[in-house]
Amino acid sequence: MGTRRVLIVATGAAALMMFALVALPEVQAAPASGASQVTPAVRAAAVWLASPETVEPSSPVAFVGQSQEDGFVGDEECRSCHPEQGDSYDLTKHARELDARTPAGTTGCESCHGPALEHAEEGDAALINDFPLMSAEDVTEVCTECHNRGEQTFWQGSQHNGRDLTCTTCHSVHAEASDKAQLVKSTQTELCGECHQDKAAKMLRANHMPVREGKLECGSCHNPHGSANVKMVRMGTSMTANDACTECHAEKRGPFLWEHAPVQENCASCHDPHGSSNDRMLTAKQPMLCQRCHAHTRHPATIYDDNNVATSSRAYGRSCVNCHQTIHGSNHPAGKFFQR
Amino acid sequence: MRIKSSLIVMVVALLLVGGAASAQEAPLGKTTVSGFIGVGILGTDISGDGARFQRYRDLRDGPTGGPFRLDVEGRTWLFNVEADNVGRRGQRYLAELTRPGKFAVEVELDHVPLFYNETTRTLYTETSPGVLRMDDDIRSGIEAGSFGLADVIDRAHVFDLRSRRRELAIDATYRVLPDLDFTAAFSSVQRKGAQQWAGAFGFNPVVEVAAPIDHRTNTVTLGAEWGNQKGMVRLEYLGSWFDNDIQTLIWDHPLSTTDSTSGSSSRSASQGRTAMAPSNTSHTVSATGAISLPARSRLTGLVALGYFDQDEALLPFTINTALDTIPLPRTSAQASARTVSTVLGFTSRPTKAIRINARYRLYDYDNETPVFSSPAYIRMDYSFRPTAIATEPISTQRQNFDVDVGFSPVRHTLFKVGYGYGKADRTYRIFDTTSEDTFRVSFDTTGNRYFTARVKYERTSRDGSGFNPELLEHVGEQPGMRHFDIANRDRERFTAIATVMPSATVSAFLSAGVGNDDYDNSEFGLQDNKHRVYSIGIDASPHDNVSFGGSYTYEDYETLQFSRVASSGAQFIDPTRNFSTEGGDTVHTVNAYVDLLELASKVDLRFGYDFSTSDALYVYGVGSGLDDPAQLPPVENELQRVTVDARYALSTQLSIGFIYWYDDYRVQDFALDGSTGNTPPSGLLLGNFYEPYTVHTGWLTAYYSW
Repeated sequence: MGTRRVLIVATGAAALMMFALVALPEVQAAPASGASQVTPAVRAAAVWLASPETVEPSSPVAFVGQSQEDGFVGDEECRSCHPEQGDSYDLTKHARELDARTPAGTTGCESCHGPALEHAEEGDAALINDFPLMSAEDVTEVCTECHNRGEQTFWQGSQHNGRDLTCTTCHSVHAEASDKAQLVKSTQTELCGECHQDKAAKMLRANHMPVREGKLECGSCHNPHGSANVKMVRMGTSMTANDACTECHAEKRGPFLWEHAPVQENCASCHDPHGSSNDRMLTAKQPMLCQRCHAHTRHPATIYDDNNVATSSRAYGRSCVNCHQTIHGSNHPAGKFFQR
Repeated sequence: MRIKSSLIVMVVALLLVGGAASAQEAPLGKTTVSGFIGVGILGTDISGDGARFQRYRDLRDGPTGGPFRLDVEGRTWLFNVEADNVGRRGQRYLAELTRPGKFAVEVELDHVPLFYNETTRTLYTETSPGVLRMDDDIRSGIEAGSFGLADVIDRAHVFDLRSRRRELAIDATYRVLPDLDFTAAFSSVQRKGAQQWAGAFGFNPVVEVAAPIDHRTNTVTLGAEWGNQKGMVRLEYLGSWFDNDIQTLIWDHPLSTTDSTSGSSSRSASQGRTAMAPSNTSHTVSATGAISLPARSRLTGLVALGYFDQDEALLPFTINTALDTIPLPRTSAQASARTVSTVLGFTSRPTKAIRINARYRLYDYDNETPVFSSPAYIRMDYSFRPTAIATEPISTQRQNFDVDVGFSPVRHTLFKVGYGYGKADRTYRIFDTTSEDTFRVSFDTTGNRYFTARVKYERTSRDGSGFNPELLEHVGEQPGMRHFDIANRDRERFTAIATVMPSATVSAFLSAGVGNDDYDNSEFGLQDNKHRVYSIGIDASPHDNVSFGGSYTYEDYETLQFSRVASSGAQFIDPTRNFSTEGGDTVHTVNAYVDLLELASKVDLRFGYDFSTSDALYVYGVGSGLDDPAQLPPVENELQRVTVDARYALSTQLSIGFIYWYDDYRVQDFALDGSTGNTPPSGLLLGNFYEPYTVHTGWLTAYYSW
């Protein structure tokens, strides 16, 4: 762990610099006496950040404050030709004009579709943002003008973004099919299962999380918009699934007096959280699962065949866990072998 | 699941019809109210394992309340209430108040039942929290040899083995400034009930008890997030407190009423005692930032510091009064760990054709728990062991760097190549360090309205260094064992999915996923882990009101592992005593549906069918020094579900819905099929076995919308 301290300092410094860069445009707006505390280099960065033209939108999207002279026509003009889209938009959060962060709170339809004056005059769809025809990255750039924080903080560079999925792959502003989140399918599970067929199939296994019963959904554990963790796991930063698992199963979080190494390494070493035919969603039946790591003398490395299935406490029922109950970690002073 | 979702969707569709008018009227200053309520009756005919069918839900006969939805929209605010499964074990309630652009508060109460078994039996009774006692006359009779466990098992009482989570969650967001939000969240999850728990006294007897559960996890999140089009910063605190009200479990030995020093697991302890999950806390503070840069670039970063703490009092080594006392090296666990994590990401699209994505991750888990060592211990309350033991507080540091470069020479088409390097340092593991190199290529074409395709190939090689053979030797492990979670490994993954849309109303897909993990430097343990998954499906909507489709998925999983049957001494190094276990699991899954909506403007019909069958097999192969084994029978699971969801609109506001479910589950599992009953040789189990079931459920509901 020799590099740990250096890495912490370096990354901490990088984070502070980032914070300063992002926050300083606000600082610059303060009276000159306050601004004088800022070094020239940082001030230059702040000035650059404060200039809208340095951000390069790929589309003709423009921001609050632009008027009809800038090529905007207003919602009424849009609705005169596209009443159905207007009606469907009215049903969404985008239409809440009291919220200054919504399209309705800014430039309405043209917040996303861009200034439409030329389009209105000439009728050419290519003169506005026509999302079905746009590349994934262009769509992303429009949406992330606003959706660049909270849930979407880590969208850029996420697995989905990297495979050319975009916002409109899963969401629809004008033709959503779901109760919430404007999805193009009625549920998250149905939507995610379109591509992740193997995971959808596992939901039908005898041992599964309460997804098909409606108590959990894919987004309970994963953030499809990207996350700080691997596999788009919504929680934590441990680079394992453990953060998601221990959010509900906090009794397995530890730290324990006696640790079982693979538990800390990754819950998914032994469990398949999407479903399994094996008890407790294990990836294999016991004792075979345990024998993947344990070939000690005597009982751990015994062949548990059909002759002793009904008679050996290492084979019937819960097998190894018939004795090694506290397999996730033990707080008993004699818990070396996860018994007591 | 499909029924549940379609039910909500259909009802929501009704709601939206009314809601359209509402959204338009609200700006005029008029408060609008919309919503619906469903009230009905449910009947279920269950043959077989009803608990498994109701594992996470409550489908008992009787009236049903919900779904209920109420949306009130004023000029400047919105109020929303939801209720489902009112009065049942899976009930859920939600209320949400929003003032757009100012604040939002959501309160949710959700119950999640977990029904293990309704035919479990036990001879134990909980006399106080965490204390399970058996009738003395049974134990003394067995001890005296008057009868055996099998003779008294009929005196066991049948009980439902179940637990339930009760979750309260409150989320609030307050917009302090146009670009600044404060967020606060609190959740409290209580879990009560009982679970299957092993209370063995050595190999003889194996005992299962229904261990009571009574714990609560409280979580608090506080955050502030500032952001605009150029970037964002978020500061957050996350605290979690897990409190277990039952930290000690005590239970009677079923065969013995007296403590002694005989060392016999079946005779030398009158009771057992163990430590249950300890209460613990975790705290994390994090700072996240992102900034937009020129050339369509973005830099993202996160730094988080965490602290885990668990300092519960330690139990004595045993409850057995006859055995010598071993002094505890310390009286409490004193377990704690600190974490530091960092994520730095950079994405750029300098031209339309080029994309760059790089990410660095660091996670350091520094386990600060002092080593707990003792010159001796007591095994399972019956046996003094003069063997020194010492804990292994494992620390881990993981680092990973990934970079991908994408080329998009043609619009809607992306070629990507990537490389990843990972490194992990661990204490108390057979390798001090593992490093991992990953190469990947992918191709995605998505913009063509007739065809999309996604293909990815990834190859990873993991190598360990700093091998510690003494850790294997210390526990009597074969020196050739390599624990598969950190062993040298070559991994290959290939995935592809293609979708064809010959018309706007028809789409068909074909997908494949193939992978192999090869642990070729492991003499023992897992050697290979392969999977193959293929899917094919079609969806069609020939008419606005008609849609149908189906899919078929084939999954095949294969594993190979090596071991050696050996006592210490000559057998331990005798390769003729090696054996292999080939594991295989083949799964076929079929889904199909037909939706017929607004027939004669009044009737909606939805049909669904799900089928999943799994055949798993474990085949032993043995060396010349071993007798041929009697191969295990296959493990078979099969589930069929038929769902029918019908809706008839009596008027614009009133409709009648009828749902029918048919569920049929078949299972063959050599270890859990119940043939051993409650009293296998030298054991006393709860009888929580896998049993088949056949269920017919009918659900009649009247919906009223306003």
